[in-house]
Amino acid sequence: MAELAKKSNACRSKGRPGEKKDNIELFLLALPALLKVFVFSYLPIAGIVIAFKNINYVDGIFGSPWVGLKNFEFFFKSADASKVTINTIVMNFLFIVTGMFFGVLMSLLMYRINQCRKALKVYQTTMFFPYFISWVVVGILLTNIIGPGGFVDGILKIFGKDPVLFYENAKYWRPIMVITNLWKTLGYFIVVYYAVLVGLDESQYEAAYIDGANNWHIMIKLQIPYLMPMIALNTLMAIGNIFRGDFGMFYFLPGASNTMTLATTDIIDTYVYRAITSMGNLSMGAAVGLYQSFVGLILITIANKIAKKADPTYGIY
Amino acid sequence: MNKKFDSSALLSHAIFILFSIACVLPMILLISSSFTSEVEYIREGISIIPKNPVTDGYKVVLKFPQQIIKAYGVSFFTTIVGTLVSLLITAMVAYPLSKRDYKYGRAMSFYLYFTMLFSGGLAPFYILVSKYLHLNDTVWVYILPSMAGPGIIFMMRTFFASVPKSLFEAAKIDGASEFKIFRTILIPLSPTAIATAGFMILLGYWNEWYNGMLFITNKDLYTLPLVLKNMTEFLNMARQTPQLAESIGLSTIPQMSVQSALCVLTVMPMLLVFTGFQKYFIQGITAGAVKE
Repeated sequence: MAELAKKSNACRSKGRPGEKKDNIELFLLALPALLKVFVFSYLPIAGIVIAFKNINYVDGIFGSPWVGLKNFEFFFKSADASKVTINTIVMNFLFIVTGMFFGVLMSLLMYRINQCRKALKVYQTTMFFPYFISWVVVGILLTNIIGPGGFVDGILKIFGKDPVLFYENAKYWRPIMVITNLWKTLGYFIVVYYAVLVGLDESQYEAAYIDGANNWHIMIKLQIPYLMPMIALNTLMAIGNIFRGDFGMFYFLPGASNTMTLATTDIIDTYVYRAITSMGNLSMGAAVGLYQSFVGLILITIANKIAKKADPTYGIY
Repeated sequence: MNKKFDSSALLSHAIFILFSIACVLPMILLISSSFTSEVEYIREGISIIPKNPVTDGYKVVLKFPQQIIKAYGVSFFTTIVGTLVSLLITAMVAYPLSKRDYKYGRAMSFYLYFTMLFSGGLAPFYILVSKYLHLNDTVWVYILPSMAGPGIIFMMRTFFASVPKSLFEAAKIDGASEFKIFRTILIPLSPTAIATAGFMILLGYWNEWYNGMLFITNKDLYTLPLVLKNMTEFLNMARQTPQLAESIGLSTIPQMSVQSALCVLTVMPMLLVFTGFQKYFIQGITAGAVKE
């Protein structure tokens, strides 16, 4: 492939007639997407100025009065700031750890049975089902399971125990969310790690067996190190995004209007949404959003730098 | 690995069977709950096969055909138009990005990548879309903001990069424009890329509710997930407010099976499409992983 590239570069030396035309045509191909991104991703960045104003809808962005850091003060002085920040970070951290642990573990298990193509196909297909279900539906599925009269209550009844009111108690929700998140995303991670694992040459296994390795050694000294780049990359990027939560999940699972579980289920994203829609406080919503984007940017830049230090190809750009 | 068909292989199968069941069981419960009568629900809860299956839930849902048919219509329109347009412009931008010698390639990559690192947040987005673009209460608010997501662009770029350069060179010598190359060489040679990206985009549009929740107040323009969301919230609220419950005759509506029936109608199309695409999709995901 490298040779091919070299050859074609020889044909396509800079200043080749038609190169300029090519570049223009390529740019035109790219243009619609670039424009869309400009309008919907870059223009809002300019709108960040809202965070420093006391906006009212009538005056719009440019007419409303400037208030400096007041919106930030308001947020940070409230008890909410630490609550939603901690929830966001803690939950994401739990997601990362459990996702990585079970994803890797199960991909190794899957590799153990990789001769059974048919079984593998069935497993991979069914494991993907949860990935397609939107959180609105998952929320309803969850009520079928842990809601009043649901599956869990049925089982508790069999054992003669009282039903548990999951939806009224915040303390159950960290584990509930971790399990639900695993249910929804594990299939994807298992397939991805398995795909990497498949690239490990069979002969390495043979050599290891000849050297007297047992399955445990193989796993720890051969397979996991081989997976490390992918694990590291996924983990680093996830840490970079630790300040951003999955809005749909945290909004729908406990029930959109359920205020009783907010102690553990309110994250920055849902907080901003509520600030804007129910409290009507666009300015503070903007301030918190900026806080989130800003810290997120710092985190992901650090994560990217660390990734690149390990290996220059790890960064995303 | 062939030497050792041992207990660990058995363990592996057992674990995957359990996990597969766990993935599928909620769906089965959903289907069965959509056929469960309210009486049975209150008395026995939901079981895998309802004791006295009824179709009341579906009857109620289909009794309000206007709402549901409109929602299906909106969802179909959004999904089909959105997927086609988004897939097209995503592929169109992924192609130049996939060429290592493209002059503006790095700048464009960064331009797109930056939006993954930093965003203006919900508030400016809200004001932009409603006050300045006037997209609220139009079907375009579902389609436009979600187009050409950078994640999928980069994924397609990776796929496109594996098309042999020699093919492009040959076409160039024959005097083809980049548009022609895109149309006649790149696309026909990338079925996996298109299927994978296409499916993910399609999934996003079919499940769309976020922009609707923010910007749509016209009930006729709700997507299926939105109808579902509203119904769920309405039922929850009605349960807690006796007057409201009475006024709509809550006790006569088989709430749970209605909700479940609607869920089934929302989820089934997606699962059917997935089973159709499944071969390409899993291939695509795994190919993308290996290229890391």
